[in-house]
Amino acid sequence: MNSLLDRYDVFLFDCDGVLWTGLEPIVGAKKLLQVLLAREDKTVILVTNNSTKTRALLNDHVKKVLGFSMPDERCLYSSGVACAMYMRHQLKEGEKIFLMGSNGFSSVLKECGVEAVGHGVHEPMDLHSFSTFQPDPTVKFVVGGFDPQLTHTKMTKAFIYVREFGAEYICTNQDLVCPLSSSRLLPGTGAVLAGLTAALGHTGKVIGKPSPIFFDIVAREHGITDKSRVLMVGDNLLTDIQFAANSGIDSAVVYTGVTKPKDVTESAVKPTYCLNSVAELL
Amino acid sequence: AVVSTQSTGAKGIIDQFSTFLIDCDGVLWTSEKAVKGARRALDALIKAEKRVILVTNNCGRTVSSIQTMMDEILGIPDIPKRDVITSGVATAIYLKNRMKIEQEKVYLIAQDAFSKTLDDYGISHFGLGPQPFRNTVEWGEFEVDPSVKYVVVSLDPDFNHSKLTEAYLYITENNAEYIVPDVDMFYSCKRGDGTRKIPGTHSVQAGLSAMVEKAPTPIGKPSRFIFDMIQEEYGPLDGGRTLMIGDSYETDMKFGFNCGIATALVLSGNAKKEDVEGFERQPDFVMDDISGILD
Repeated sequence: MNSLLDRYDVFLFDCDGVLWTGLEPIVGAKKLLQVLLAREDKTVILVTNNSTKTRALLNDHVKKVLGFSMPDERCLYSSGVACAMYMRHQLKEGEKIFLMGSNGFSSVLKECGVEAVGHGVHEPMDLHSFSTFQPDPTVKFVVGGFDPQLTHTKMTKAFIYVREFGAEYICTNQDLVCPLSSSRLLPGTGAVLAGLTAALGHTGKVIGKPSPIFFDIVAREHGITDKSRVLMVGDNLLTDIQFAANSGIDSAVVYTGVTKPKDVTESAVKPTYCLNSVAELL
Repeated sequence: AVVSTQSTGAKGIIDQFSTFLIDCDGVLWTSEKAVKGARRALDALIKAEKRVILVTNNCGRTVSSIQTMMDEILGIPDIPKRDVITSGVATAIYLKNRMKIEQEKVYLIAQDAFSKTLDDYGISHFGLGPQPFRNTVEWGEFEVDPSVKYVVVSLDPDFNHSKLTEAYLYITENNAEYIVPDVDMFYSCKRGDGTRKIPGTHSVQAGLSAMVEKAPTPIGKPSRFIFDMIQEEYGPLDGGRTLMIGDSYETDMKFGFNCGIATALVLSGNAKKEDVEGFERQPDFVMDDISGILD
């Protein structure tokens, strides 16, 4: 499999289920990244749909699990970072966004110079109080990410911004579940935003995986022009491998996360390569 | 005025039926103000000694608050409790009389009025009110109480990830029954002279329904459960002489079709005149407002 390291120069890695599971590193992941980071002709970029951390916090997690930090924070992307970059050039002076997201996402937006309203806990409103709800007229986007504070009240305000006031609705991702353990699943961003999706009749523009918008943003920041030299490595067929397909790049699925070999057989989207783990790249 | 009718009878609509099942919001009142013609229509129904049963999916109101509204807004002071059916009441009767609930616990995602309705029927429940976020460590340690056998999911302004997760765990780990008192996609509230459409109960259920495999138990319109329940509890109705009057095609009209009873759509609430020609199936009557039954 050494030919894989020769065939590609840019390696995009999903994180959970690929480089680590929670706080446990995948065997061989540390060594692989160290080898790649030591080579000047190779680029390593982490791409995660988890929008709850800033780049700095993501790097802290890398250090905690793998024992070293990524030397360049620009090589760490969350779907939250991608959303911030997507919007930043489209917002004029004084224009804001309505945010349904985590504290980490709020920090990411601030760092990118995007001003958000609506973040945090909302006083519950009964249906008839919405008669007098007056939105902020400077809001141009409604942004959905994993929001532990998303209540029906907050979601209704988002709905009014989009449906009545024409705000553009974008979201970080639509992953329905995230596995807590082998026996327990937790609701993911897709489940949290499902109510707004049902009410609007659409998910909004997905910026994170599997959207190729995420790839365009990464490619632009890193000057990636030759897609044939890019490999996406992930554990999720619907997000990681579909992302690669949508972006026109090759992909490798690893079996250390949510996908097992029979899932690949049954899947419409096929990865270019199937690996037991990232260790096989070496 | 009657806008259109499938009926060829010469009799007025009110004379053709003995029992009138009437939706509330958009038919009798909107945001606590009487709908035009509602008072006249109700007075005529009572004078003609017709059976009037209010059937509303709205479980944000208790029966006694609806009785008060009937009195204060429409001048009808004595509508009996058993003739006011909310999906909250129907859920309580389902749990008590159909499922014969005893020690089993109910996890409730709903507004305050719903909890009071369950209290009225002596059904104990938990989960009402705000629930702080629990992180992954807390969820890993969360012990699922095996006596929670029912999860009731209705509109809840405090509904969030934590409640969604807890509901999901009772359904998947306890095989708890997932009950949906209503599945309304939207509600309307007054805005200036018109109405503002806002996400309804379905938006609270969407994430949970997507995550669990089993279909939920429907209670409210358009399911015919309430029609069957009224008859089981209070005696048979003459289906051929029963009319459902409502403002929503998806809930009220489909309820009427499912029960095999006559249907009248009013245009004073959800449905608009331009929607009518696009319906898969035409209601028996379409009218500007409920006073159309007097024509």
